[in-house]
Amino acid sequence: MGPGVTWSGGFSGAVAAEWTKTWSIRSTYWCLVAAATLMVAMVVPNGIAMRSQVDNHLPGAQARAATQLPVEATTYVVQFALLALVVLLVAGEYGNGQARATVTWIPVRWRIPAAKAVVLASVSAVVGFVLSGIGVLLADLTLEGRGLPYTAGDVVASGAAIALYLGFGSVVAVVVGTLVRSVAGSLVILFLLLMVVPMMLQATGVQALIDLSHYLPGMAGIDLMERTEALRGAVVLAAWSFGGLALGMFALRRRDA
Amino acid sequence: MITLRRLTKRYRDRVAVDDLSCEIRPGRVTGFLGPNGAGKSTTMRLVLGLDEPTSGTALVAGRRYVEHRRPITAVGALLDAKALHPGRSARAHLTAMARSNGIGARRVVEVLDRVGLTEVAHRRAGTYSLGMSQRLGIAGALLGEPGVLLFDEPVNGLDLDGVRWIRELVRELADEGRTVFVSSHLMSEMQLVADHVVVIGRGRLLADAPIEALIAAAGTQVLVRAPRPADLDRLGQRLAHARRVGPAELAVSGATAEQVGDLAFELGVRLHELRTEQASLEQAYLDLTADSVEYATQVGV
Repeated sequence: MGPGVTWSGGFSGAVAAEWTKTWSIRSTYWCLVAAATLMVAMVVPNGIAMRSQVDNHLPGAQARAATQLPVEATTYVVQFALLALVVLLVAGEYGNGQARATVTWIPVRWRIPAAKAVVLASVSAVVGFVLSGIGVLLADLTLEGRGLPYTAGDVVASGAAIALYLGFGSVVAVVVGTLVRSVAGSLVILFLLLMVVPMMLQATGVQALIDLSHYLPGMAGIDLMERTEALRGAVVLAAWSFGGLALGMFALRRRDA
Repeated sequence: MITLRRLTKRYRDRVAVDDLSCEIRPGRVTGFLGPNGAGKSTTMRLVLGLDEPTSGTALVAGRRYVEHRRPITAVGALLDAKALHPGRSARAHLTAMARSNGIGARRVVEVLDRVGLTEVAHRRAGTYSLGMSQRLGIAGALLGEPGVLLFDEPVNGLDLDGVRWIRELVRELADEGRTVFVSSHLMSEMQLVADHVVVIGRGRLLADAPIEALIAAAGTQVLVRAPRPADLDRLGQRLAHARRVGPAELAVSGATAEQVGDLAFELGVRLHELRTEQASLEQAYLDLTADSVEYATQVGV
């Protein structure tokens, strides 16, 4: 290696560049603040509500474990702050012209979505794990002992499941952002894919459609995080992520930038 | 060295680059001239692998851009100074760029210094003036110390200081033995910096020659100014190669000032000016591209 050369570029260079790009714009920090805020804003009122429901013996009141609350918060709101982060860093590049610069730095195109997937999935997973821990703590504080019992292993397992889901979800978001190239369009598609379509399928009451919904990433995530069908959920998510990524890498191969 | 071999790029309904073959050699500034829409930017995009050629190849140092392991250490380019995230600082932008190609952080400091952006390197690039953005683009081009440099219309929108700075930089880079390929539609600019010119029109190669040869080929012309347009028309009709270049001006080639003056005397045309002019690159260029201007404006006669 000559003077000033630290490594040889290639895929590791692409990952390093994406890492630097991720932490050098404000919207990344805003999205992380939003994710943390949403976790707190979901878990705290839910904990308080659950405690009072149990205390007042409301009909239908059902105590859940503190580890359950961050899972619900992730499913309904927290994930969208992190997916927005991913979409801004992927589709956003096409809006402001950075995409042309990126392709010049990294002309072997498949490396671009692959590097983004590695970096952003890692960020989302770590952030998800940390937020889940904070969520359990806040749930504990607000439930004041009314929740169902859980073990330290449960905390780690649900944190890991959340991390895994957010990691896979971020890969799917990288793919959608790469294919759609528009921030707003990508967010709409992700919201449909993760929330609206699975819920609509469930709402039909038709068994075949309900079964089908478990093969969409949103429902698969719930299966994983609620640990009802954790393995199947993880496999479905992995299939969407890796299959999607392969598609994204292929699509970018010959596209004029 | 940049080698274009039968390079062709066809979009759905038009041909942007048409069977272009030429070599851009190191150690000199090669101007890339053509009217707007001639295919200059597309050619540069093809060299950089941003677009895929329909047929033919564009090679840099003997390889396609995508085949270079650390491409920005082989080719530096300034295509669109605004093609970056406006929220990222110049330093962060260049750092990400450096890391993508395994270039050490020290180079970022060096290029920021070379283009004079050190003081403002922490500011978000979106807040930069056009001149500053252009400097940042040039910093990026120089980052990998490449042997080949491509600049697409580098002086566009720059103030006089900026223009002079680019001129000197381009000269220096060529004198260091690098291949420097600079596109422009400003002929006067090219005349000042280029050693060699490649001229294209409608995507086709029109000329590939040393700048002096191009000017010499265009020869000299005689300029005639007269107060009455009708007189100029009468004079023009008697000359083989005369064309109106202004409401009161006629440019004549293929005749000497003496011949034109005698003819004016003979026709009783009152002249206000009669002078011989060495054809400029501007003229040579206009002659070359006259037929290939995509959106020619018809001057009312």
